[in-house]
Amino acid sequence: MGSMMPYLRNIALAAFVLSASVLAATAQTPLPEAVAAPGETVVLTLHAEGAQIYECKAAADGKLAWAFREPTATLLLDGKTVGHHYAGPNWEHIDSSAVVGKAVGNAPGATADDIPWLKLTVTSGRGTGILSGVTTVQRINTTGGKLEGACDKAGSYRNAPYSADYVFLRKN
Amino acid sequence: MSFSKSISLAALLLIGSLVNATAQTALPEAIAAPGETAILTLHAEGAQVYECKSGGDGTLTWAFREPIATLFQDGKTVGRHYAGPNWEFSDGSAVVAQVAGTAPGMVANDIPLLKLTVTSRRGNGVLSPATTVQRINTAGGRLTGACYKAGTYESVPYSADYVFLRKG
Repeated sequence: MGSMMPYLRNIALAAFVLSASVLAATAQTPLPEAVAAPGETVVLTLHAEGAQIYECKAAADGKLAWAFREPTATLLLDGKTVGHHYAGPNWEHIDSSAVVGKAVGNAPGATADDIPWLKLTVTSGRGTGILSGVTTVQRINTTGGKLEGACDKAGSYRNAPYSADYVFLRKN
Repeated sequence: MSFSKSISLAALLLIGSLVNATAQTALPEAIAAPGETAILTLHAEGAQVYECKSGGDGTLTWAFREPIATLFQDGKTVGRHYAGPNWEFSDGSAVVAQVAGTAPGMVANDIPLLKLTVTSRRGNGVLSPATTVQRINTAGGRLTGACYKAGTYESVPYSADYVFLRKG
């Protein structure tokens, strides 16, 4: 019986280590399939703080409702402002490299107030720098930015604050 | 009768023009730019970005970090406003300015009205002759008080109008 104890303890330890490594693997690949970019490599991840801007417009049913117009955000890395995100959607780095993307996949945010996670394919680039050669942009870890419902005056604006992380990837 | 009617009409017109003149010069003195002419007024929608930082007394408080906004004119996106503070117009002209005067916003949640003096410019276009920028009609954007984790950010939505003026 006594000789079994270290053996059992090793099994328990092994099981613990195994579950920890499974958790670690999960933490590295928690992206929903719709926004995943298998086979691509992360070039850079930037934090965004800003707003999603909405415009009051007549919807298909003729009623006035808030419609998404464009994003405006500052891009941060290690406490420094390193770029801007704006209509296009454009991402511009201070080294002058920039990309424009187009949404190709989305997944719900963590709560109903959070804008969806996105996968965007880069459709054009300009300048030369860290964003050159980027093929995919992911918008993850979204907080806020959502606005829905009726509005009163066509052409008026409202902006909803948001934060997110943008992951820039390139094909291997 | 027709004489007194004319007088009342004249008085009415006079009052009307006084009201009009008042509307044009309603800006608080601290942000007024007497003798300057407005080139362009753009509407801004965006956020004031704050960072959680240690204050003078060692407690963590929200500190203003930078603005980020889209600039609109007649329903079109025509430029951007960002750290510097910079204002960039779609024709490539841009200015950087420094605060030279402030006046309170309409309510406590509104960032102040500002007068800024242009300190540098680049590109060539509609903003090139600007010497002063006024931030008026502010709504929102304010954040004060304690925060819990240094280095975290908070974006507070705001809108405002930016008036670009030139000397003369």
